Amino acid sequence: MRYNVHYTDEENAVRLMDVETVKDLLARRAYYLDGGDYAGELRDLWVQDPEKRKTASYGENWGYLVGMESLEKKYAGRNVPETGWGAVHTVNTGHVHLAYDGKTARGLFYDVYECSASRPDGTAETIVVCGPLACDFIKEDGGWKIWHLFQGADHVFTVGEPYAEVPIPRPDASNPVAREFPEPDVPLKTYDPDYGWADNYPPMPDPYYTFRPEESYGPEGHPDYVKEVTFS
Amino acid sequence: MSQSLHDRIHRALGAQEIENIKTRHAYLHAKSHSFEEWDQLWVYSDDVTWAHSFGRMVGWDEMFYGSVEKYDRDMLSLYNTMVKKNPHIIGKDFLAACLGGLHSLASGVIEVAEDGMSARSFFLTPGTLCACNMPSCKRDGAMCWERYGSDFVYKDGKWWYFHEHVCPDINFTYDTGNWAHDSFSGRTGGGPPGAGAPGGEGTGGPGKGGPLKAAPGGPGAGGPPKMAAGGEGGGKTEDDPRNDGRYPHCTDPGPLHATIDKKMGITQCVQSSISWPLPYKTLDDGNSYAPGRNDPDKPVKSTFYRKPRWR
Repeated sequence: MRYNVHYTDEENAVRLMDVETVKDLLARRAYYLDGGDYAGELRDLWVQDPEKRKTASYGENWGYLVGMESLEKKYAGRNVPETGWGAVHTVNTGHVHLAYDGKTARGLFYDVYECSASRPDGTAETIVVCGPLACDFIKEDGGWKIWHLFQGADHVFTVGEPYAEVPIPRPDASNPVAREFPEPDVPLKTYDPDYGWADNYPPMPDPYYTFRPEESYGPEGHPDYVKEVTFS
Repeated sequence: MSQSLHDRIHRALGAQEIENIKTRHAYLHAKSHSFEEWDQLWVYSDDVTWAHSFGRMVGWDEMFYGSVEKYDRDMLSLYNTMVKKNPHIIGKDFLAACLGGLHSLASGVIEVAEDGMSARSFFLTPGTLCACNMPSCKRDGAMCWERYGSDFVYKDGKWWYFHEHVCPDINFTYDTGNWAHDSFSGRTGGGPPGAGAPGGEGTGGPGKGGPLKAAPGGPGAGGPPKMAAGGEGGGKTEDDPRNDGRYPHCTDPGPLHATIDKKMGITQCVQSSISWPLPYKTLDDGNSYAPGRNDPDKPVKSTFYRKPRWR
């Protein structure tokens, strides 16, 4: 379906600001991550409306955490080594579509980041990760919030280890990003980066009229998601 | 320049749309879905151009052949090679299963013309060209840093891609050797990495096992050639590697740009092949990445099947 939607200049000015604001929102998240402030990220940048909190989600290659309570426990509860830890996230290549109704927005970005951590034996491990970052944003009390976020890992390099020697397919046990992902509420192999971009997840957003869960970056938007239905 | 609020909003929306066209290109190119890109994003005109080091394709037919038909064929050829070595990719999208990575976009400059009918952009891509399904059957972790000069036009109420000029600057791998030193020593004749052989052009060469230090002064005689738009010094010769079938036919033959490699050296200055756009009034030869080819309405002398589906 194609829409022919017309806006006044004032409406267009608001839409311009909305798109820039959601791009800023993900950039701000990068700085929270760089500081390891996951709790602050959830508090300041994610949905607060009680109903939206229930359906908020965070996904990686291995499934989704669903609901802010789960995120606060598992996502924000990840350990940051006290002996030394640091990260730098570069969020780039933003492709953003604001819904025609102006209530939500969807964006696909790419995040090339570095993360370093000290080990108990005094050595350090650094990884470089390239992966997609997809987000559903929602307007809440006049501002924009993160509602569903998917952070994929395409290529994970451990600095000092030849990438060519990493096996194909890669066992999760040898993947430092997989080791850090908490027990998912919705376990699902969301996509397999060992097939390049063939799985097409997360998909690039297209122009859309209004939010629909089956088109979201939450679990219900994944093509392999199975919704349990009981008929009484 | 004094403009109405309406016109200023039109130009601001245009700048956002240019970002989306560029990023849509990046994600479609990551999947090697060329047909979707040219079907959805490019204006149907015989003044469209797409340029790279090897030259500039001009006109819809030439560009569509080089960027879609030839590219699809190359991807199918790679897939067929890989299926024999890695049967696990059978059934996967043959365009997207082998090559990987993304030409991520950074440092963007976007200018929308005063008349609101065209726009120009300049981006740098620190591209992560990593892949799992290569003929080596090994993972490949490489980067490709390029600069993009792009022109766009506003036609029929929509923004369209019009010209693209890609200038690859640096290619290197994450995990094999010292690509920068290899490039430097190749240029200067300084010998193998860490060998401490005499350097060239006043560098003195690196000491054994020591840090690489380039003496001031930069490249001397025989430094980087001037690469003017339009292909100064271009034209293929019989022993030109561009005749090996890898590159598509180009109305404007290259080279249009030289990648920093063993021949050019890591310490060469950034070339002036393309530059970032400045504020401008309208698309013309002084404000275009394809001077002389600025008519978005130029009729296409094309075979029918190459016409985009919905236009």
